[in-house]
Amino acid sequence: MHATLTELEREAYRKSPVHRMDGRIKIIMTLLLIVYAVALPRMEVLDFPRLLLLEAYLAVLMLLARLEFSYLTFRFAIALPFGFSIAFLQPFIKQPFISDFTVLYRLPFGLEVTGEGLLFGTLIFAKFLVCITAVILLSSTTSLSELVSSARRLGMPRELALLFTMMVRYLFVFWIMLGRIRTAQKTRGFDLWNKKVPRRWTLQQVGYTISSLFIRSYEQGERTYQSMLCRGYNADAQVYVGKKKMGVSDILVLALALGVIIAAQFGLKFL
Amino acid sequence: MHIPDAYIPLGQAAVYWIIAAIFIARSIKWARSDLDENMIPLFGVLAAGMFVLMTINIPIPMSPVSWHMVGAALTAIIFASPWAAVLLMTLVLAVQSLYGDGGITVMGANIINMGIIGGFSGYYSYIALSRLSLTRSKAMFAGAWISMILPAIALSFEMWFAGTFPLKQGVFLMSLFQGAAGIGEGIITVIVFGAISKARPDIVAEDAHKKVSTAKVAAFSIIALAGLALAAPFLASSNPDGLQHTASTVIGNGINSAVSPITPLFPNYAIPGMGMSGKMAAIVIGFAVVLVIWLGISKIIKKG
Repeated sequence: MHATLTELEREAYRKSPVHRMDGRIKIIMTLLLIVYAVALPRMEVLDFPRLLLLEAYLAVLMLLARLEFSYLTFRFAIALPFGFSIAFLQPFIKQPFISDFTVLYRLPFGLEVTGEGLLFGTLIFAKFLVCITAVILLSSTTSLSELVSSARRLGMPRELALLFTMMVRYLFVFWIMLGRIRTAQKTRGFDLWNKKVPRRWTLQQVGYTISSLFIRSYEQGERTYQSMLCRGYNADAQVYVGKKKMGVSDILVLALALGVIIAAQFGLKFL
Repeated sequence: MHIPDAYIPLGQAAVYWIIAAIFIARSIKWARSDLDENMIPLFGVLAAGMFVLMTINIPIPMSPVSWHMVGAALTAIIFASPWAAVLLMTLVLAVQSLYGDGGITVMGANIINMGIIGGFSGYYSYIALSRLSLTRSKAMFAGAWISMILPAIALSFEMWFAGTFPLKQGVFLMSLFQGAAGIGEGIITVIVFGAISKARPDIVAEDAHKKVSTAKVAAFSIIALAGLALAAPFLASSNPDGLQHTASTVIGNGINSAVSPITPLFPNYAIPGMGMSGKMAAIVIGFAVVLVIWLGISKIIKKG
């Protein structure tokens, strides 16, 4: 699931107009698009062109960001299954908020495909797709530290910002540490699914890996905390974020996103 | 286990976010004041470690699948406070949502399930069970298992409120899956806790477990059980149960008209004329009666 941690950061450091955009703009834009997509009524055929417009806008930004195709397919492939399987079941489910159903097909075992369920299922999946696209675009064009400092500039509470700053700082340290542990285990022939050793033993080894990571991260936390104290850290300390001015192009991009939403909401009716 | 965006309507998602925000604020207050020193930077680093160790695959015993750890019960037990679990799970879930694992608008619901319900149920069931003279590892296994199964039930209810999944099938499927994953979680929690308390006994706040007052544990158990009792009538089938059904096929329809020597207080597990709330009330009353009887018996046994 998280095999992408390093790839993600690699993509986030590419150079493109989208990568250069202010992090604040990207966060606000992503939230706006997601909230709009989720807020759309759940049983309206007109939602499809609306969502298509949002998806097209996001796709243009993805093209501009020059993200690698294989990377993107991988990101989508790991994000979609759970949402897809729930959406896939919708035509067979009698949703409680719908009063009457039109049965399209009758299948054996009393299963019925309903038109309303089909509409609800595809619509919910389309919404989910737009949300996932927006999140993937945000996370692959903005580095994690940039995300945290932008969130801080947007007024994230002081302590949460400190927590996220520390977390993002050490995420890759522990990721590489786990990689080293895994390599060391592999060289000794460790395999999770080896049938020749008792399952109990395998579980124990996994447990030791987890405990070692836990203790190491705890001790790293202690060391970091001590050195912060030495440098004068106290409870009133602030995470420093330099002021950054938003450029005209950033505001234009945000205006464009708002324009897309307004066009989707009101413009499509007149077509 | 992570609900994606759009699967819960915006209004409901907002309610979950508000509840989660209250708990997050309280958990930050806990990190600031309830610990000896200001532990906030340490928790940030630890959250990074927790995020990474959640990517480790754990084989589920007796099955060919693997799952990853959630760790809500483990962190709550190590730091002797469910607030630790709430704080760490919030941080981890926030970063996970950037990787497409769980949505943004529904993050509140995910925090409630895995952080709040998982942390509190895991911690207090561990304390309650070890008070009931279960050995430490057995109590911890059970606590970790409960911290996986209760979020699964909560998630099924949330999806049902949202109208995206029928309740009974949801509870069945989610409990089946999380019940199996919970076995792995339980074993790993016991192993990891044992290893940590051996290597760094100072991290593990084991004295604090004894300081938790029994009244508090009892209060949390009652809240959790009452929550389950309130949820139960929605799951109950109005069809006759297995025993009743077999009896009626064997004896014929006579069973329903057979005169019982005792008139039941709550026929069909409900107070007549009150509908669903009657069912819920009947279960709560029955639960209270059983609790009183059980407490009485345990008092008598202790005196003897």
